[in-house]
Amino acid sequence: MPNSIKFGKWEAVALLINSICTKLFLYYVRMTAEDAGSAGWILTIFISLVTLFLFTVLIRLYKPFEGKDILEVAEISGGKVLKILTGLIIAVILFYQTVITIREFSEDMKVISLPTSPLSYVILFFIAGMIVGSFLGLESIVRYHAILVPVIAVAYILILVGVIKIMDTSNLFPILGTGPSDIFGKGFLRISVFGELIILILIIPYIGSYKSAKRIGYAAIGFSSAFLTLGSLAYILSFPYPSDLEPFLPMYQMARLITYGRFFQRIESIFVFIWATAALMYLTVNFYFMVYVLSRMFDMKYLRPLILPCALIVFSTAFIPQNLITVLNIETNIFNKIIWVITFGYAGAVLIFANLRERAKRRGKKDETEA
Amino acid sequence: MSYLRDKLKGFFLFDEPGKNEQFILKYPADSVLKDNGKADRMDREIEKKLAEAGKKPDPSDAISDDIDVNLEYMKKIYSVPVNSDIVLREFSINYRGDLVRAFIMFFDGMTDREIIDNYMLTPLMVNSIMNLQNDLADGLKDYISRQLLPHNQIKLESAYSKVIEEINFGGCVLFADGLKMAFTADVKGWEHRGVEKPNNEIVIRGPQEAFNELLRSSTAQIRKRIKDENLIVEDIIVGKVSKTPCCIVYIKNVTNDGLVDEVKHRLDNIRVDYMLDSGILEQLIEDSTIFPSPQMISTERPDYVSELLVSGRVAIIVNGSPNVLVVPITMFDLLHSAEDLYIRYPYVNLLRFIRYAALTLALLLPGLYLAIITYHQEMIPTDLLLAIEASREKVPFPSIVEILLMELSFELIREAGVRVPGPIGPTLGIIGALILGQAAVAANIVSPILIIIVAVTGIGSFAIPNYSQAYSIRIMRFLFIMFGGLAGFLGITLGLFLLGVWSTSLKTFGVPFMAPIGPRTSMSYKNMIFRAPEWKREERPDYLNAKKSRIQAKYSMGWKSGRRGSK
Amino acid sequence: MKLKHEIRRLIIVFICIANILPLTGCFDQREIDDLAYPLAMGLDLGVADNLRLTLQLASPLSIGGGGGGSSGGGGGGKGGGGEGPTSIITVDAPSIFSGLNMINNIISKEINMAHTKLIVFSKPFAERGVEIYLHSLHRGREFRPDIYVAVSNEPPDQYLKAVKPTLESSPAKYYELMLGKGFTSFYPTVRLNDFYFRTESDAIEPVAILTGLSNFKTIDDLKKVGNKKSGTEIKPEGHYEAGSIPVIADQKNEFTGVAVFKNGKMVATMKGLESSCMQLVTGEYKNAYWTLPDAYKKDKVVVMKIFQRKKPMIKAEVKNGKPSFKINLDLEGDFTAIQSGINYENYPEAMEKGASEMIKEEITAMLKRTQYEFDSDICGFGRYMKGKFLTWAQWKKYDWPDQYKKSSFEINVKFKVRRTGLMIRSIEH
Repeated sequence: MPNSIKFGKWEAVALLINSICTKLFLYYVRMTAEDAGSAGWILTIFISLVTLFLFTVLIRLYKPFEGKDILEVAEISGGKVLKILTGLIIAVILFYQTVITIREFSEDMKVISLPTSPLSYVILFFIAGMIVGSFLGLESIVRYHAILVPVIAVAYILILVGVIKIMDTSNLFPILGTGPSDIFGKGFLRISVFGELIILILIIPYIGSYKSAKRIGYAAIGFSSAFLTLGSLAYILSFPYPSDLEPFLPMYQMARLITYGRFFQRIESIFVFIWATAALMYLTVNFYFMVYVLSRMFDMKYLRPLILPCALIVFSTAFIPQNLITVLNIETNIFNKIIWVITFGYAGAVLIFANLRERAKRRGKKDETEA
Repeated sequence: MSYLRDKLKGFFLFDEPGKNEQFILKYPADSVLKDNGKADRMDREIEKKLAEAGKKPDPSDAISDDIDVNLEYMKKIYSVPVNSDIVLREFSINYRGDLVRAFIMFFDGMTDREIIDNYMLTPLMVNSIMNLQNDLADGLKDYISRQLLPHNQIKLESAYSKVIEEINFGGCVLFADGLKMAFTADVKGWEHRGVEKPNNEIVIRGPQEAFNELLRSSTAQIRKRIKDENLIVEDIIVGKVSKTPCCIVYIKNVTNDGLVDEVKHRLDNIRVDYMLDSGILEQLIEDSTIFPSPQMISTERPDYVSELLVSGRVAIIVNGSPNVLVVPITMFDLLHSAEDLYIRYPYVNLLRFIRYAALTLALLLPGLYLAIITYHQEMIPTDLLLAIEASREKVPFPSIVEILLMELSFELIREAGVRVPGPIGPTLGIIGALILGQAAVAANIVSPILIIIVAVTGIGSFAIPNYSQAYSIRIMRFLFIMFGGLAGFLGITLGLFLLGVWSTSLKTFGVPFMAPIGPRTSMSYKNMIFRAPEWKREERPDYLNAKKSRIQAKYSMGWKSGRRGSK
Repeated sequence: MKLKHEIRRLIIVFICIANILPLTGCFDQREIDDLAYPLAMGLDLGVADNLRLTLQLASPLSIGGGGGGSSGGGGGGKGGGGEGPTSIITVDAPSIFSGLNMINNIISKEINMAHTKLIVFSKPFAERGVEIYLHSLHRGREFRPDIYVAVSNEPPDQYLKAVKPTLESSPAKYYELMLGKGFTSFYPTVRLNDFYFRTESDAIEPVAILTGLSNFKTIDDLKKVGNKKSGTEIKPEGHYEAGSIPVIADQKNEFTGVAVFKNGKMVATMKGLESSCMQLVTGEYKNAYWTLPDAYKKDKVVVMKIFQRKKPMIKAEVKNGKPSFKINLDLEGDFTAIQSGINYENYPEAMEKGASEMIKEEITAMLKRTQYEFDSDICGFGRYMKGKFLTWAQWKKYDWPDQYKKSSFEINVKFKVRRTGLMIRSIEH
């Protein structure tokens, strides 16, 4: 699809920040506590640094392919077959993420405020937003991100500031939590947290130059890791270690703890706005890119006809997991340990391959001209 | 039903979109900027106009040199004996001793009789007898136009259609025997309002003049404020039958050419028979006809229009309408008032803040109240909760019915208040407030706290400066009540999300509706969300892509930096 | 052909309706007056079942000032809201939520715990162990984490019935104002989330507010406490627990002292002064009046308002395999009464020394009690000890709850008099 749309750096950064950080509202801080106990924040910093390094490598590999997204690069490296394969892998991942997240957020809303509504009713709200957002297109979605990501960020910081009163520095100790091997060994798998960076290599044609893509990547990783670190730090500070494994919605629990005087308390319901907005944005983006990749994969001219059927599939697939715990296990124990293989490993492999191809081609050309 | 089916079909099935190219406001090319705006666009327009003027009329439309033919034709066109306000006056002109038959035609009431009597009929009938020196080359034509008609606006037309247009517009037409053309004189003298105080956009500080229904008076009001030769007023006629004259006003070395072309393009391609008011025009040229918010500013204040023109926008004036349209705008412009530039900036920022609060309250308060009271009871402070519960104890309706009831009655009072003749208006307000507020509570139909909610919402919607925007908020409020009733905060969030993505996808004349924040454009024009001090408003809005971006010198308060006595 | 069209239309309409129907459900919509709001909940040992659950339900009509037009219609009696602002319901049930379910068989409105302010355990109940019920409180969305936790001397059904605040119309406000304040320090502010976290943590043990009904009905009853005229010794205000304060009031319930827990079971109670000391060590202390013996005239007292401006500095160390803690307290005081008339304003050193020594003694006594009497680390020294370990496994191995008894403390109290009220000197007669 030839695109005349271009969007600015800030929009792209906002898009990536929300995509990466939405997990903060769901399970992220609990997951760090599960992994590393009271050292969850160290884990977060560690995986941020690793991601930064991997991203540097990856984006350097991208240099010859300015303005091309991963599908085009795959086509260069392995022809149509690889393009379709790559598209399929990405689409499946995005689909999976959409389904799991929609289920998780709906369960979350059910627990928080709609305990007796049927699950389908709650999911319907998210599906509706997703469909409308995708219909209106990427441009309006990213603009919405540009407006609301700062709002969400401010509200998020407000939660963290709000619980300062109950924070206890001794919760940080023992400083290494469950041990360095957990943090730096097993913790490495958690770079999957930044798996949503895959969206960056899909929006590259919209961004324009290689340089701005690089900057956007660094800014997104920087901001996200700051938010993630702050989140896990604040969580660990306010919830002592063994108890912090229990909450289903750690951020919600934290918001519940905010109490200032007789009036300023019980405000956690307001954060439903933030959660639901972040969720709607995240789902719309994931879903849109899933449909986008599908349409690109098969060189379709329009993606709109795919939206409704895909939404239907997402809607019905969301009911497959038996219960909440299954969903959480899939998300934290399986998905968040393997997705980095795709984002960094597979994409890296495709890029290396394409680089070799490109170099060979260039050399061939050079030989021709010399001959 | 079939409409619904089509809609449904369109929803489930996919139609390939038509080749409607969306207009995107692009940044002007460098060459344009270097020439300081004296661009080829203007030359092109001038050429077009000249070509139009020099065009030979259709043979069937051409004026005959036989006055009887002309007379018959005009009589037929205007159904002369039947049509009572058309005046046809036949007389003779003395030309080199001969009596040349002639007649004039005009609409009584639309023309100034004095002018016709003194400056057309008197010279033609009386002065011509004096047989002035007339050795002019082109005979009768030049004699009449150069010597006999002392009126200041005389045009020569050779097509019936032009002549008819002129008569319809309050001109006076002179046919003379032997001439293949007619003289048209602008003797408009129709009854109209003078320049009065604005009725609806009242400010405390600032000029107290409003546009009136007269096109030229309106353009003059703008020119009075922007005394710049670069201010261009382009005429355009809309409506096949009504032939309403409209003007596109812009500043040629500021406004983006693409924007002017787009406005012209839209106006040129309106295919309606009648276009009577700028309100109709607005609906015909807006980008999205279903989006609740207005997508252009409609104002009766010349000073506000001038301010918007200076920033690089285009104004459209419709003859017969005291409201001038200005495009393009963004969401935030709808919350500005004309006064905002005239009062000091801390005050404005307070007002702006209050307006944003008013907007939020008017839009969301009833929905939020419903959501909180039926879904999120834990949010209410306990004492208030118990008070609400006590007050609701005897109310038989569910909260949503209660809210809809009150909101509807409020809208009722509002609508009735507008329609009611002047003196009864206040009475109605009192009745509304007393009966609906006090009595409804006393009768246990609604709870007292709801009266507060509805009142605050109402006041909030009155605080929105743009009248149309207030309408859109009123409509959307009901949607948010519905969303709030469906799923509490989750529903409202979905509502906000849908509204948000819809707004961000919208463009008005190539400018994104949520411009300075989504997409993020340069904020250096510091009068968007909040206003910077006057000396700091250095640049025009970035999204307008104007030819000149600066509107002030870097040090606009030159007296501060310069030394006394020197420049 | 036409018929087909009609049928298709019908189908489309049906699909629409079928899609819209679930939207009109509003499943979770609850009118505010369809719910009943308990303001306090009491838990006691049940007779008919495991648990005796008492709810103090708010009756909104008497709290919220019944409706708009209550004056009309010749209403007999006082409004429509029964006698008091609350009504008490007690049920014997196997668990908390089943108890709520049972109560809903009696009252029409669905019970919503979102506005509960206080949970009261009876003493026998607390001694049996509260941990098994805490989880369900923490799991339930409606139970707020900021509910206050108290242990009452009396069974909660009697206790809650007796709670009749005289200054507030609503007990909810009473609880919030009463239990959230920080200016007597005779009882700590204990909220559910804190209580719960402490129960689960091994670095700190939970406490609860101690409450009870006054033992004294008339002024004459106060004689039981003792006759002041005979002795000269002053009995400081901190030497009371809830119920034993010599006070006669319309309001029968009172809060003073601390209920100490260990492993989820209540093991002892502490007096008001010990509560102050505990809060001084944990840093929750805000300010309170202290009655101190005069440094020179033993029969007179000096009253000071003592503030803790800085959080206590506690350093943990392991000395000879035993934990040892250095506690540095930084306190300031304002004179409010000097009965002896000695010019302490200008020469406060003697009083400063006396005060710091007395506080140190009281704290030492309190810590000794926690160590040897009930072996419960309520001040949370374990939290400081944790910093000495690198990983969780090491810390677990150290087994802090077992080590607490062996700890030694070194307490330094720095006490400075800052202000003297409106007078700058006392003149001796």
